[in-house]
Amino acid sequence: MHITTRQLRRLAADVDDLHRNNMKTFKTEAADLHRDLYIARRSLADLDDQSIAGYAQSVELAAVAAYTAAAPLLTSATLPVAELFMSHHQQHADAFGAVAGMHAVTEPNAALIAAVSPALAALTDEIGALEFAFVLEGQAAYTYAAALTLLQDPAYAAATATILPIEAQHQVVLGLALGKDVTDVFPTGAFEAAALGDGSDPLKGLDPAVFAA
Amino acid sequence: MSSNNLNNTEIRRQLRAVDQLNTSAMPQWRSALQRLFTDETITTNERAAALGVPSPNRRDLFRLGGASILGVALLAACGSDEDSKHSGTDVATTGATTGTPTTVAGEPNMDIVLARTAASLEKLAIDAYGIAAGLITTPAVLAAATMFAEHHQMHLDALNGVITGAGAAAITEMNQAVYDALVAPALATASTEADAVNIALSLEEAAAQTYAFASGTLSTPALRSTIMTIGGVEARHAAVLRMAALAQSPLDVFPGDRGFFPGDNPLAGIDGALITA
Repeated sequence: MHITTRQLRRLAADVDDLHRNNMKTFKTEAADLHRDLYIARRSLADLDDQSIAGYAQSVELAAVAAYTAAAPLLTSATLPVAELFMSHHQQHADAFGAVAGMHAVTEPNAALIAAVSPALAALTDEIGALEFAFVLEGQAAYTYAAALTLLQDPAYAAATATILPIEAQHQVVLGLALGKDVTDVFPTGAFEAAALGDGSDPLKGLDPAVFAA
Repeated sequence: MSSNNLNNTEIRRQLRAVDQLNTSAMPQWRSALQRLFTDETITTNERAAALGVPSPNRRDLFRLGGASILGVALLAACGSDEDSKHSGTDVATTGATTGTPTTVAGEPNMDIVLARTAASLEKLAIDAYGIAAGLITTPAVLAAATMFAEHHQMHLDALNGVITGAGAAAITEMNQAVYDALVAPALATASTEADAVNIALSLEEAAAQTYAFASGTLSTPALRSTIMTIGGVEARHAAVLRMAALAQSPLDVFPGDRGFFPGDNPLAGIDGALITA
């Protein structure tokens, strides 16, 4: 078989293009792989019931802080609802804190606050504030569905199960207030999600491997 | 021009460039893969997640890119370990976890009783929405009711998966005791859309409360999570019915400003509500 220099160059160039195209995402994917492995190694499974309760308390306190920050953007029509939700989150934080033992906290989850601060700072109107809260409430509900897969003490599970539906209902109320379609207030369909993520996915809960202190 | 007439310098330069790209990326990749497949504490599901491929227990989307293609092959070579230790990060978003119910020593198999009772409530909700549909005239409300009935069918299917997985018979009939005690009397006098919606609301809130109760009684975390991936959605149904179908205030979704969903057994006073047989 004979091949010309031009043909060989073209073939080499084709191979090079393929490699370069693949390599464009390779570094990112390798970094993602390392991050995911790191998260997997520090999973919820390493936490006991009291640790999970302490983490949940910190998330609830972060929700209180987020509502407090967003409140100035709300009108008189929505502010009472936000205030009610904020009081719910404070009650949830108190409930989790009461059973968290040495893992009880006094401050909002610092990592979560840091993660949401840019979005909070960028809010300029009520719609944006409600959208932000809509996502956060869903993530809270999903966090508790995931926590239930690990809580060993049925009493902890029962307490968490009385909180999860409230967060889900918060999200529905916010969604309908935003004028969303009914379908959209069931973001994960007929079942609440029980998956965890790094906070960037509105359809996953908040992974303590990412946000735990 | 013959094949022997090659510009070796240019070819070598191009190949070196390709090699440099490979060389710079491979150590990270090799290191990650080595950890991924030699660390026995990492489950197959975690490996699948890290590689961007659907795990054996997940309905997930393929990530795009070279890593996911390679991941499929690597995971196939690795096999499945069905490790449940880290289920908290791997439970499918469908909620259809099929943990094996266990029997608490000295007690009847409450897991099966609760799962069958829950399934019978789902069937009741499906049937009730079907009956109530005849009274619903607002298209948007009817569309929501239809969607909710579909959700209940999916819940029934998921619960029956748990039930049959434990060797018990699937539920195909509604909870007759609850129907007789709560639904039939209300249906007998129902004549408006609001009546129909209120019946649905009662059922949804009773179902959500039943599941919150069950979550403190079921024996395994997997079952407790599964039941609440359903219970949360029932609570959403109730909120939609109050606001969108009954035009209630957002504050009415939380009677008494409650911040906790009731967790006591709403079926306690209804003889025969628990499906024990």
